[in-house]
Amino acid sequence: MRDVSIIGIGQTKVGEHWDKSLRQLALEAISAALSDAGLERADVLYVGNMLSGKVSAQEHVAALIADFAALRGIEAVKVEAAESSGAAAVRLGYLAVAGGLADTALVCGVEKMTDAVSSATASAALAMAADSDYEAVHGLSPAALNALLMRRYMHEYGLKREDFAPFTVHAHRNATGNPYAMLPWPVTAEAFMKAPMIADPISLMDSAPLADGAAAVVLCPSDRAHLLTGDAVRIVASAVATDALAIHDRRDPLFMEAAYLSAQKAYQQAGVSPVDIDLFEVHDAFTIMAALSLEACGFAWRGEGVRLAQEGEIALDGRIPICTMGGLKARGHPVGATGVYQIVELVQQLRGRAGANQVRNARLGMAQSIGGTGGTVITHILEVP
Amino acid sequence: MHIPRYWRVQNQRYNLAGEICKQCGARLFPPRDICPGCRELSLDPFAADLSELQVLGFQSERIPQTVDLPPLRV
Repeated sequence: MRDVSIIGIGQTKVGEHWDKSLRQLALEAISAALSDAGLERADVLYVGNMLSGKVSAQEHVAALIADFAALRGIEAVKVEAAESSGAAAVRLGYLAVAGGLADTALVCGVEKMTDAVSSATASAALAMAADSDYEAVHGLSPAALNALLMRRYMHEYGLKREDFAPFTVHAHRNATGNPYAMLPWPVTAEAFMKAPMIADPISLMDSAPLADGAAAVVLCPSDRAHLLTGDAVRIVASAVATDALAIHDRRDPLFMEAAYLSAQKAYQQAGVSPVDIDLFEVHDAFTIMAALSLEACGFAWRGEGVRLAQEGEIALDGRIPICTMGGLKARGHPVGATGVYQIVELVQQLRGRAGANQVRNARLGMAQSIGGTGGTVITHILEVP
Repeated sequence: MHIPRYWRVQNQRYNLAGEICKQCGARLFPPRDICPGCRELSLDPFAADLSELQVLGFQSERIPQTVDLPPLRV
């Protein structure tokens, strides 16, 4: 197996891109990533996307994007794993290069949420990540499912809604330093408490915004990376794990087993433990999910993920900085692209080019992307060579 | 959703049907065709008794207030 490095990154601003289509967003990210890597094309293209069929009435998007990006002829397939589709595409790119079947792999995550005619359509589309027969059929949207988890968590550990505010305040503070973020303005704990409810106890301020966006990375074997670029970043772990889609089918709904398994596999591959990780791009689609992910990955004891945020340990100079460029909450959550945005942001940090948000002496970064309420969880660990 | 999809799960849904694994004793609700714990194929049906069930969580979606409109005239 070959060692794999990232030699190029690209991203569009996250937001409501009414003037751009799915293919145009993808092209923008792909062009930026290829030019960053100093390449004109790659051997393979993997596209991470969740909702093009439902929202844009467009499947077969890998070939569409390959053609539109002037890469006609390239091997290209779309990868779908709900909200972790982007990370799954990175995983496939990694497999292709590590296995020696491709020398350069282009990975693009793209989502065009605003093609949905209403927010109800968008919400119904996202509910497809849940168990259709037993969850979505009862009208459970992602917000509603996470509300069930959050209420149980609050009951179990004696917490209140305001205890979750530090996650949101922190994410927005970091987004102010990210020119690609959708919501780059600070919010206060008071604003958090006044936010309108979506699915009690989850309010607008617990939830990541739906958005359009595309991000891309270029991978190649580490022993060739130095020939192409001066600042490659190594992928030292890539791990996927699964769990029951439905929360009622889990052994314990408040423990994300797939998050635990994929993190453990990743730590093992990289030969590291949670204390070695310098920054963690967490999947904070809802504040409760950030807490559960931090606990499953071993950064906090069960029931204490929230305390990490309250005690400032997640700050840029804290013990384990998270959401360093705004996270899903404030950078924005273009679902199928999000997993690639996390990787792009890790590369920015590990190259030392994260501007005002730079985590000092960052050498080892981890990203975790979660599909549904934890049915698929994908963990990557990157390292400065 | 298409009608057959409701039809396939109606017994489970309205009788609260589940299964007990003959090998490891796991209680499966809703039922499955293979035990997720031990891969056993023989599963005994059972109907959940409401008095046994415990509420683990609940949530309420915020529904906008309805506006009082006069009835339509034909």
